[in-house]
Amino acid sequence: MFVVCLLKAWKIRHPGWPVAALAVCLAGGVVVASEQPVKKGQQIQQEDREFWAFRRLSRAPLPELSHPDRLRTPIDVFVLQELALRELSFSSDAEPARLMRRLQFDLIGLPPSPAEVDAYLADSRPDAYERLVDRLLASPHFGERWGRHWLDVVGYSDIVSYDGDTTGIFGFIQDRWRYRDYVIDAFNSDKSYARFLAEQIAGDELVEWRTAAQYTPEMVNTLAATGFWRNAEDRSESAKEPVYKWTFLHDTMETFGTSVLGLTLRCARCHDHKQEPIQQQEYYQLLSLITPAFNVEDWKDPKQRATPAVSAAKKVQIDSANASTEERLMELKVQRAAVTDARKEQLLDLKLVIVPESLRADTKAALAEAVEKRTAVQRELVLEYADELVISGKEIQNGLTEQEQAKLAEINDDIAAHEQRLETHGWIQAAYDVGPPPVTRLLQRGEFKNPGPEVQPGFVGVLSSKQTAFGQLVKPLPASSGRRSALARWLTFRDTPASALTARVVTNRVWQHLTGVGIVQTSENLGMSGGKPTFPELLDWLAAELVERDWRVKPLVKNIVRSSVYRQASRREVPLAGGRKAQEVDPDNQWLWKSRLRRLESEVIRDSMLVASGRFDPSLGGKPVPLKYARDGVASFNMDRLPTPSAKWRRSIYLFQRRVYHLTILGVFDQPVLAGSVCRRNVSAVTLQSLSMLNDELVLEQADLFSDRVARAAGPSPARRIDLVFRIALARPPAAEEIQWSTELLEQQTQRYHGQGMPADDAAGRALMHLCRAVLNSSEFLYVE
Amino acid sequence: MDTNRNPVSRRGFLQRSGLGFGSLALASLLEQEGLLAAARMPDDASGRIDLLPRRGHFPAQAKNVIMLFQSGGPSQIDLFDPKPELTRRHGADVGIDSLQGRPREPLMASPFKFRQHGEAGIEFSELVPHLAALADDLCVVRSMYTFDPCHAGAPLIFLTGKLAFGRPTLGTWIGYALGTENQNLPSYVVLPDMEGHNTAGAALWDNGWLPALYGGTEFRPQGSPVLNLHPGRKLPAGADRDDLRLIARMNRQYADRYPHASDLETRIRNYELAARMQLAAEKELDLSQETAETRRLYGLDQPATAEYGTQCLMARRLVEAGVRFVQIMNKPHNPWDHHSNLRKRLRADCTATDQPSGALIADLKRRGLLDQTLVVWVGEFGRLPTSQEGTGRDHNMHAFTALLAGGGFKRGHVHGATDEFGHRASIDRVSVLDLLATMLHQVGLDHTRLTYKHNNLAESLTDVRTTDTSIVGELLQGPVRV
Repeated sequence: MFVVCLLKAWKIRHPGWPVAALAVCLAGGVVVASEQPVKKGQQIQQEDREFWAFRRLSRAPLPELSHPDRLRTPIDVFVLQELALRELSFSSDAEPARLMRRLQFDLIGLPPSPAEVDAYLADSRPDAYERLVDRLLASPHFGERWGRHWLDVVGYSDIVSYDGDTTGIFGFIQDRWRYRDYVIDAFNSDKSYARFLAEQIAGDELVEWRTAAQYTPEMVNTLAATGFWRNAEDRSESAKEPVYKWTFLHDTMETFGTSVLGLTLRCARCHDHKQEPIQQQEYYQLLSLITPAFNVEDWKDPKQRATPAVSAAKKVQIDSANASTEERLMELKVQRAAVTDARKEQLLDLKLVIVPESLRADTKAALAEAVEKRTAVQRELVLEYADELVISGKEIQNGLTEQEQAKLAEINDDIAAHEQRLETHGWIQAAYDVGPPPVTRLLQRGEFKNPGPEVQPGFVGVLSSKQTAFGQLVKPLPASSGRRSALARWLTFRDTPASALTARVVTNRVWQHLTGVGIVQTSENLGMSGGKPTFPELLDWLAAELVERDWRVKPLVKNIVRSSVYRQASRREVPLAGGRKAQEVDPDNQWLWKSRLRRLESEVIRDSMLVASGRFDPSLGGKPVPLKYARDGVASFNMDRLPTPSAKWRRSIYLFQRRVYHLTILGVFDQPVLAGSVCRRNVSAVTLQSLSMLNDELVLEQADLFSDRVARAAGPSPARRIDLVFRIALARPPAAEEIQWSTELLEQQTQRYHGQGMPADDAAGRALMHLCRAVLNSSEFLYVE
Repeated sequence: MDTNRNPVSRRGFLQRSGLGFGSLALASLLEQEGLLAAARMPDDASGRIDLLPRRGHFPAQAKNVIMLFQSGGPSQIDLFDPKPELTRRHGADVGIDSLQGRPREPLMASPFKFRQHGEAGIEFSELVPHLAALADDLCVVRSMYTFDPCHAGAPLIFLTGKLAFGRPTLGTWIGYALGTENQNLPSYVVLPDMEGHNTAGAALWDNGWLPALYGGTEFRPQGSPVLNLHPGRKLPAGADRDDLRLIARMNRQYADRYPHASDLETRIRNYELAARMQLAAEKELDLSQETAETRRLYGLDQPATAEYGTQCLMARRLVEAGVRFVQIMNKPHNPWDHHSNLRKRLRADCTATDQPSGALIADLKRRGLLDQTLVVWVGEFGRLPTSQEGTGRDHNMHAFTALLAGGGFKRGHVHGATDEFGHRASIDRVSVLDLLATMLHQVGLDHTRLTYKHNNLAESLTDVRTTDTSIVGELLQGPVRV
């Protein structure tokens, strides 16, 4: 019954702004309702094409405004126009030091050092701010900061499968990090966003990797870019049923739609989309662009998809170089087994006493038999007794004679030495056509067991024209269908509705990351079911600028941070004309009459502590920093496997990335579950955050190191110590009141430790740790103004 | 200059904003100002972030809920749903397909004996004598079914309404709607097994897109009950207090700079609460206060039952302390997933859980708490009546049994039935979503009106726009309200 109402309701589609507030069919929604009619051949209406986000970009003429003193960029003109309509105005510029801190966090995700703040404040050149912007844009940390945003959007993790078990990591595959590093490099080198998409969508079709004698670094990177298609949960290594292949395909479509097009495609999987002008057939047409790479009839599981990070020719070389070492390793392992097997059997015989004597020999034989060859009786015996007959490696070890143990150690050393000798080549987790394109069929009601008519490759009709039809854009290649390359061309084809939407989606996200909220708040959805833009003309203007500058993101970022809109203070000092309060006119600051106070993301909070303590390890890229996971889900650094002692102080983006189980403090500060696209992060303020900042050993360790650093740099003077703590942690000197409170704390804590018999100097050092701890716990440390 | 000290704007602030774990002082301030009395669930209260207790859409039959979630899919046929026909036709092939393309297998009779219990004469298997002893207090729903046969999907559907990660769970929705009685503890506490999580993991107590405040907080059954409740190292007595004073001073000053940023106010209160929680959580969970008789009742004196017994006893303590929703998770790796050796393993799992589960219900009853507490014992699906390789049973989403006690559910009542083999729910079928809707009803919430705006859509737990969920009035003592 509800479905009937729904169908009636949604058909009433209004031009311009549909009320479409009906949701149907969320991801994997349990559709219990009766069958829904498939509306075949529904034509795209002109009004659909005229929906604001589906139109070509238009550059509105800049409005004329009367008070140009605050107009630094055209952005200001667009925003001020809307403010003026509501009799609002800009707030004054933020204080330089606060603005600098904001810019640092927004551009590179790290706080400025006291020396950098001082230098900036002392720089009286008129372009001091622009110089700062340029310096930050050129920093290698820019790519880490902005790469993280994109990795959220595609749902990147270092594992491929699902992530539901605390200690067991399913589907870890080698070297996923090459995709992460590709993304970071792309932002650092200011790669054209069009090219960035093309490489991720069809990098395998852009370089001649199949026949190359030697891979160039460019080939490796471009292949690694296709890791874009490998982000969805892929369980097909352990679960062979077709449902998991289809789930992967549908999840991948969903991530593609959200990340690149800003549209929810999933509803069209089962029926024509209820809220967007997307037909079910179009969903499967889009799907057919990736089925040559992900062919359900000729499936490659994640391990099979891994490609060596060297050319085929080089791989042959390495393998033959390794052959003799591997042969020796086999021998050594046989020798090792010979030492332990005898002991293992003895132990088994001892344990077998729990089995009734008449069954002992049979049970032993049953255990020795290969699982698939066991008879019914043997299976029964194993079921009944195997649990109690398990022999651990430790038991075997303990049971060996001294001589045997020495022999075993010798063999193990030998094995380790030989393993070291093996040459490795690393892997790329890529996507590429695995064979000729298979037939792709529409799935009735989205059920793979219910295939319908065959579909031909195609794009989203409402965003296409004859000129950008699939047949016009596809160029088949010798070993690949060229379908994904055609998709990449379609997405960024000059002056088309598709490229307009692509540009709006990325522009809106850049705006969101710099101001806190997108021009369209639902940055994951710019379609008819998404939010309404606050400044549509500004969005189009910025998007057009992006396209005109070869889709480069850094100029777009620069354009925004140069504006008065961005540079405003986040507090309103002066009331509006006539004494009205801006807060009352626009309580949510929708129209940007001030800058937004924002809580920093989990990674930025941790990285800032590392910078404060002076132990930040700025090394870039490479294998993720290993974590370990307690059974209750608590994650910490795996100290035994750290490649270098300071690796635990690397940026958070380089930590081993699971979908659910993050380094605990990151999870506590809302690092999201990465099972699909995340375009906006939650920002919570829960007690667990306070408890973590107070008591988590990772924070206490940073407070220790922070206080050591301050003690060394500031000497014994409490006043100088306090001053430096504030400058490092908050990028400003302490106010008079804060000096007084901090002095009080240092005195109290010094006395406390001294009273316990600690020498005065040491006690003062401990007290300083407490001050550092308290300042790291301040709201100001967690927020950017 | 300081708008917070202005009573008018302060009230405005309180109305507008979230207080995080609000303090009792604050609650009383609201009460004085007549705000608390007026607090009632609006139909879409998107944006609220406090834990103050609220009335639902209609009077509640249950104040608190304890969910005993049995991961893995307990076999209804061997525990709660006797099938003489299955026994008679043991070994026959009646055309029931195995899962996931495995070859078809014959029917397998239950190796366990059933007998009637209580005045109601409800049949239970020999494996669950303690639950059986409570037959006259239980509402046994034998006609449950769900929509996914896998361990990753089915629990997500049961607790979030859909097969999708990132959605709020039942406990989150209830805390969001009703707040909680004790402002020193979270509204939603999860008692996971110390050995680890089950499939779907922490997603089974996630807040999804509801405010994080309402997500499940894990309390540990051993050691300090909350992660990082105390520093990992020893600090001198009083050192914390001095640090907290400086933090409070700085945070107050900062919040005064931004009088409209409610989360800054929340942070101040979170530090206050953190300090109170250090005392409250440990006091509420100090099981050494319990009598020897109670500890024996829950099986704390026996190694086999001590772990689950501890979780169950903690659950009672938490609802006594006013926690709205308590969710007990059992051992990792889906213990009820008896694909093989069901005869031995099912017995072991029942030994570990039956006595503590029964003790919890009996203990709540004798303390007069069962009337206001709803206890639910259920897994994510059931098992097939056919064998799996002779010794186990495979998953079955078409039939399983749920047990409910207290909270206005009928007592000594059996609802619905499965077919002759226990393969499919056939009479008075109840979907997992129907059960969720019915549970919400008992805490005073209308599942169609409990919504939250997410991505411009009014989202809900049961999503009646795409499902045909309805409340199952036959399970309830009282009338269904709308």
